[in-house]
Amino acid sequence: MANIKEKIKKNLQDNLDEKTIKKLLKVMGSWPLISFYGTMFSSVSDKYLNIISIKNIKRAYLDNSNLAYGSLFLPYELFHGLGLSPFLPEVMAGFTAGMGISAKTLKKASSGWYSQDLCTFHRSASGAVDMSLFPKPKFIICSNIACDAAQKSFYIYAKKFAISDSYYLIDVPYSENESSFKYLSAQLENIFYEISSKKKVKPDIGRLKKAILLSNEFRHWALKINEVRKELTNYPKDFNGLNFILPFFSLNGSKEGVLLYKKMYQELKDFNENKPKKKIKKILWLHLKPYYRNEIFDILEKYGLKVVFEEINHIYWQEMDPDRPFESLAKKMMSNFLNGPSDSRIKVIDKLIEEYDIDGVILFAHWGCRQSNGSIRIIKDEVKKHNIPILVLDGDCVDIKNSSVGQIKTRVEGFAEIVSSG
Amino acid sequence: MNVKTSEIKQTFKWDKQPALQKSVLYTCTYIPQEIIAAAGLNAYRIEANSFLRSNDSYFPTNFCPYIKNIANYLLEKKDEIKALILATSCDGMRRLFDITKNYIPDINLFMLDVPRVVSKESIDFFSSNLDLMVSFLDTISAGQKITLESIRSAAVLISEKNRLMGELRHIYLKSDTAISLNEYYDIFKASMMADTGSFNAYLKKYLHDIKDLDAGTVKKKKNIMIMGNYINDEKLWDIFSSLDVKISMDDICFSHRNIVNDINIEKARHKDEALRSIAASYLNKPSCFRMADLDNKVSQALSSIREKEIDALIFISLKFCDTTLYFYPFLKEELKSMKIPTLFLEIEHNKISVGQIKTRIEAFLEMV
Repeated sequence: MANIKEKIKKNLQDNLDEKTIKKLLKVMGSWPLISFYGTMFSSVSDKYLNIISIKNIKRAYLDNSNLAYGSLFLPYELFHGLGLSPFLPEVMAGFTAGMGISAKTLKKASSGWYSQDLCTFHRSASGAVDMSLFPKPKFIICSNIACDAAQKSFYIYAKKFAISDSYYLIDVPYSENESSFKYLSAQLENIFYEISSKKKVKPDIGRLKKAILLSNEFRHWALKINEVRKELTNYPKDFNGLNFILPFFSLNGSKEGVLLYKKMYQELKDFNENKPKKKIKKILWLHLKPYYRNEIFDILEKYGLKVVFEEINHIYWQEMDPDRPFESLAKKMMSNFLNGPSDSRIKVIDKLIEEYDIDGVILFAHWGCRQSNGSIRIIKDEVKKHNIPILVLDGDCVDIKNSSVGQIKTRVEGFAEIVSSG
Repeated sequence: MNVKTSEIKQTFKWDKQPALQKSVLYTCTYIPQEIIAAAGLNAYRIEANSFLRSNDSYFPTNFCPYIKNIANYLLEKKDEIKALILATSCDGMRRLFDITKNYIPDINLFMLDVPRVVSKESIDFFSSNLDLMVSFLDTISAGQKITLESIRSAAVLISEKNRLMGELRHIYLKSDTAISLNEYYDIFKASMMADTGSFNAYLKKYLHDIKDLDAGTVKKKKNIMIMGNYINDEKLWDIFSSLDVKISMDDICFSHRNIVNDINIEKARHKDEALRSIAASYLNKPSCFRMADLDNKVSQALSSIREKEIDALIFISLKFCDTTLYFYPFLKEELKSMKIPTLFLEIEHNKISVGQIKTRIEAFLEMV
């Protein structure tokens, strides 16, 4: 089975064009192959994650009539309410790393004058757009939550695809107050009506309400998962919470999102109730992980350390009111702990350390992420107050050449020794 | 150096003894000086040129050098600083707010949220944020509240300053000898730090004197435009001065992007109306790379290139400035189609390698 995966990967690496990707997705996404593909994963969560991801990516590549690019942290209920298929270039840049093609996409970006000081998620995605590896969208929606880069790189994509008039930046205010909510809700409402008009369909508020109800259901299961993980010591093989970034964001407001998180809850609950408890040291993971093959998690495992929670999976928003869709989505965006001052992120980290009884924290300092790395000093000082160690791993989530693999290994081992002996 | 510019420095002493206790420090061209002046305080733009790497522990290595310098400046001058207003210009500035709040808590601190889009709604939103800035200034300016009248008076002063700076620019463009490049940017520097009333009086006299001194002699030189972020380095101006070029247009954070015209508050009946007018003018001023509409920014550059008959553009960015660095590939494509030669320089804040930069500019100019 591992061989099949490697063959697929090699095929993609060697035949870099949109046509090949489409061909591959057509084959992989067809029944019964996709069902067979599902059997390659040892856990139910991974199986559903991969099948649903393939289906979504296939939809994006094979039918771009409703395709919309979106940045991370958007309220994807808006996409589902508008009948748009989301495609997340930043997440797909992670896929380029996983597929081993990021060296090519990054090289392409460099030849297009993207400075090497910029974040590789965005650079790799820009290279992929330039190489026509990503499908052409009808709409591009992004926000400034957490990061300045998306609004810029997405604008450039819009220009390249000649859809500048279908580019939307959701300008998210820094502080929560009445005028901020008003400003943000109005933008979401405008986008909803403008895109409906561009699609030449009647604005369907009912569909948006339905998406919000599904999102509430998604939230319900995600909260239950996060609750189970407080006690869980014995995880399904290869389970990694950092792999769920695509559904966590883009499937909010879809049936698939609900299905995946419900299945994941059932699996984790079953493990929690029926598998023997393990003695583990609990790790909280901050920011993202390297998406290329790496040893970090194996080393942690070897020393009896387990990442029991990732800040990216924290449910920061309240249940939404479907009868007030735009206000609800605005509130959701504003309550993102990566928006505004770092106090909000610090509060979340404090809460997670307490609730998950954390023994150590790892922060992966992705090269070029000013938002996260600019808070490292404050986070380090805060974590120290809990009398637990924190490891800041300097590296790159996408570009293996920009990460010192040996140094990371040594530092992870050193940290693991400290935590395991504590 | 021109004697008259030295006199300006001696008169204002802005680079040696800044009156920080009577000032509100600010960092961004979107922070309206009019409102700070209306509080009876001096708007003082932080330059932080000489505070490089005295303390690097608050930010990672690959972080905006200007922001790191500001943090060092604040740490060193914290006992003298009355207040600081930052803007949500970029990720870096948002993190500077956090560092200041957490590690230099005695500084009165305000974050002005500046929208990235220009629309009726964003102007309304920005107006309400300016109102919050007014409340902040009211709390720190001993007893003096900002009123419609004080905003009007301040706007008149700033508008006069902008008019005089326009005259200065006119003389600089017309003549090679009346004012050097270094002097030109020195005066810009002073305009962002000194007390506006005194500065205006002196600049008025100064302009009168240099007008008499030189009535327009200009040699034919290569006409270039520079574009970039917080570019403010005497050594860089020295390099350009030593070459056969004239910087006929700039679009940098340190010069004409500061000059906001068309603030019309004569007819404002309430403070809110005045704030709205200021909000509209500031959001429509020559824009920063942070704003969403990159096409508008390119159009501004192209129109300057046509108007000033620019031969080449030199794009200079401080390292690790995402908003600027993302703009360059976009601009480069547009200029390529117009056959405008461009040079890209990525530099440290006030720590440039003179020989290397000079060689690169010389080589580029030879090809123009």
